Amino acid sequence: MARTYDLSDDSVVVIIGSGAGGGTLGHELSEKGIDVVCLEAGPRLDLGDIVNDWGEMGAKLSWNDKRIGTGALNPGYPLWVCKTVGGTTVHWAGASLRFQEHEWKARTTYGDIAGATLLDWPIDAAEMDPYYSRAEDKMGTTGTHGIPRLPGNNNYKVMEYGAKKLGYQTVHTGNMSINPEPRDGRPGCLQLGFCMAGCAIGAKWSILYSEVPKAEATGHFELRPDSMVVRIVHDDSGKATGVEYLDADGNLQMQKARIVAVAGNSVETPRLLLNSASSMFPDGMANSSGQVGRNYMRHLTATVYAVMPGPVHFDRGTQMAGIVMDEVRHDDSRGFAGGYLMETLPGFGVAAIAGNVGGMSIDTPGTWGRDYTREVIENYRNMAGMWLVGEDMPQADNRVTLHDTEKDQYGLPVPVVHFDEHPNDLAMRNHAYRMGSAVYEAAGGSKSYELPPFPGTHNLGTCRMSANADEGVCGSSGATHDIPNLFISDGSQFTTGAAENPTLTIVALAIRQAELMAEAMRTNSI
Amino acid sequence: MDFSHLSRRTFLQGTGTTAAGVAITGTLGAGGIAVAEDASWAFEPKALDETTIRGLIAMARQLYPHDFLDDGPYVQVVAGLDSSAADDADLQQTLTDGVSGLGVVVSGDASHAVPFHEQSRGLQLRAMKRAETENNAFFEAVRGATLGGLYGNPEVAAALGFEGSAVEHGGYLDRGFDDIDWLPQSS
Ligand SMILES: Cc1cc2nc3c(=O)[nH]c(=O)nc-3n(C[C@H](O)[C@H](O)[C@H](O)COP(=O)(O)OP(=O)(O)OC[C@H]3O[C@@H](n4cnc5c(N)ncnc54)[C@H](O)[C@@H]3O)c2cc1C
Ligand code: SF4
Repeated sequence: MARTYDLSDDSVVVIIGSGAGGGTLGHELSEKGIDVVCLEAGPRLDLGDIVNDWGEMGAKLSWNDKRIGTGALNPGYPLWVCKTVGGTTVHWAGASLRFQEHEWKARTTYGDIAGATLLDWPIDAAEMDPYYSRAEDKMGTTGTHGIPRLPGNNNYKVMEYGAKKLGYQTVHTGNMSINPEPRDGRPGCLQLGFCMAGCAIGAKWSILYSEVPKAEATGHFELRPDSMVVRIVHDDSGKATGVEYLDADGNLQMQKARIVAVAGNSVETPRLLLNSASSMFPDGMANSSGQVGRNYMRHLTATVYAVMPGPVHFDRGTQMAGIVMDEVRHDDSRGFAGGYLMETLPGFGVAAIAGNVGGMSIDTPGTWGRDYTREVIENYRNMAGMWLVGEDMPQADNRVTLHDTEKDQYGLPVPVVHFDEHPNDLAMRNHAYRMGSAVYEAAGGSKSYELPPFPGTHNLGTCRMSANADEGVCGSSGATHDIPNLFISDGSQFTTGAAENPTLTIVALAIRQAELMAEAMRTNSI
Repeated sequence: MDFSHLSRRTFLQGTGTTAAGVAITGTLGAGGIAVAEDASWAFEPKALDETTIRGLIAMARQLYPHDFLDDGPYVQVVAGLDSSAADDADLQQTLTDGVSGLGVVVSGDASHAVPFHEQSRGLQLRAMKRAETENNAFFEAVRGATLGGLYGNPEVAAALGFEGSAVEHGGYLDRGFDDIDWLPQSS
């Protein structure tokens, strides 16, 4: 049964955020009998709240509090992430890929790249292997643990045909945390085609309905939705002692804690550490290195839409319906370090395509008028689309800071997210555009449109793991270098981004962190 | 593109609500404006005057014209704008001033007042291009509302090939998610 804990109970682990990292950590700890209070800024929805409507779900699920983007980012909406129980695993598409072995050692593999702050992770592939396996089992990832792959939809078939014609070899329907058939109390996918608006039947793995109910069933987990943490507090020795949060009624509460784990996604996590500055920690908590908020990464990302000779109906079926993996290797001869993937992506409805293709691609007859509607919008039915996702370079000045004067509805300084591209990112995207368009041309496409990145969905690295305390914020367990009972538990930990969609790795790291944390608690080292 | 399977009439008659949830009155009420010959496309304006409404309908169509659409869906976009303007005095002003600016035909050094909805297609395009650079806030307000309202209209979206909510139909597993038939078989 779900239980409740007293605000003054200082034996609990407080987890901030119930997304991929926080939700997994909470469930894993509760299974070990450790008491957890999980504070989540967003509301708790259930499957009945999830409908097949892009606009409605964007309003219900997304984090729409004010953020400012600078540099190459969308100024008013730099990120696309969730503010809801389950975090961004409610919106996510389900692609679940392991890092390649060399990606754990980016600095060693890629060498010294000017302007990039590359490091090796203080963990390696062999150590992660069992945790990846447990994550895949938990999430029901296709192509692992005897789970068959999903069938491919039309959009996948177009990409597969073009890719194979170009000579690509590793083309399939991916490793998806979407049930092809019923498993773990969740149904099989009905190919609804609204995965990223939330899966209305629960075939797609999400913390919301996959992990939270199981955690509650242990009797060691309390979830408090509508609870925005505004500050982490500490004692005179510098140990974290609890958190202050605004409850559903806007009242300030203080929850005591033995351990505090921050998992608010890569903007909110450093923002909270910075907002928790005190006389003892004037630059924010866990920030003696000055690295909190730095090395923000958001993956390469780009989109290619193409007009094909016949109907594709790319909205039908799983949105990330398949993958081309041949370009994910590291191969300097292409003129850039690291690699990228091609993954199918449809258009999120006609209104989005009508606005985005004209607004983001240069190769259209303007953004409105008869030529535009004829060339672009009236070809909607025949469009195919793919997303290009690859490793971007960490850079010190790509970072999250606090705005000097502007405040959000909680009275907290608005986060400013700065991101400019590294030459390696540009070289990779150029290659990815050319190859992505070539895939569609090979399948008979008449015209393709190259779109630059959408607001960031894969936000990483702002409190990164490092072997040396002066190069990052946390060590290999996620415990911060400065404060041993303060942990980073989400994608902010990423030392480097790798090419793969990050969630499987976030979940695997959280499973591992729960083990290390439980051990430290057992031996009283925290 | 082949839209020939859609008869203009049957397509239009199905349309009763917009994405924004604005119901269009089915009959011409007192003070209502019959915008098309067909009185079923009338609505009762809440904030905007007739010239502004007629101008906005013409502008919405010029922004995103589709030969297979009658005025109905464009009227709905403007009904939505009219509703928003009822709660937003700034928007009301922007729209009213914007359409009156479109109602000016510039020829050499002279300017002539011709209501926008009475201008020829070419003159309308000229006026809109001028507004796009000189009164961009107005232009983008109408363009954004048209993108969302027109293509968020389920009937319009369906006509273009977006089939909308699938959960109540059991998804596409048995409804053609992999029915592509023009692609040569891949290996
Ligand atoms: C449309 C979309 C599609 C995606 N598809 C994929 C995919 O196919 N594969 C993949 O690997 N990844 C995918 N991602 C990315 C993936 O969802 C994220 O990488 C992942 O969920 C991040 O996990 P996290 O724990 O870092 O943060 P989140 O899952 O975002 O969780 C953070 C939670 O913390 C809460 N929070 C933040 N600040 C506070 C605070 N101060 N107090 C209380 N609560 C707070 C937030 O409300 C949120 O619920 C996708 C993302 C999007 C948007
Ligand atoms: S396609 Fe499958 S996973 Fe995606 S929303 Fe539909 S049922 Fe869920």
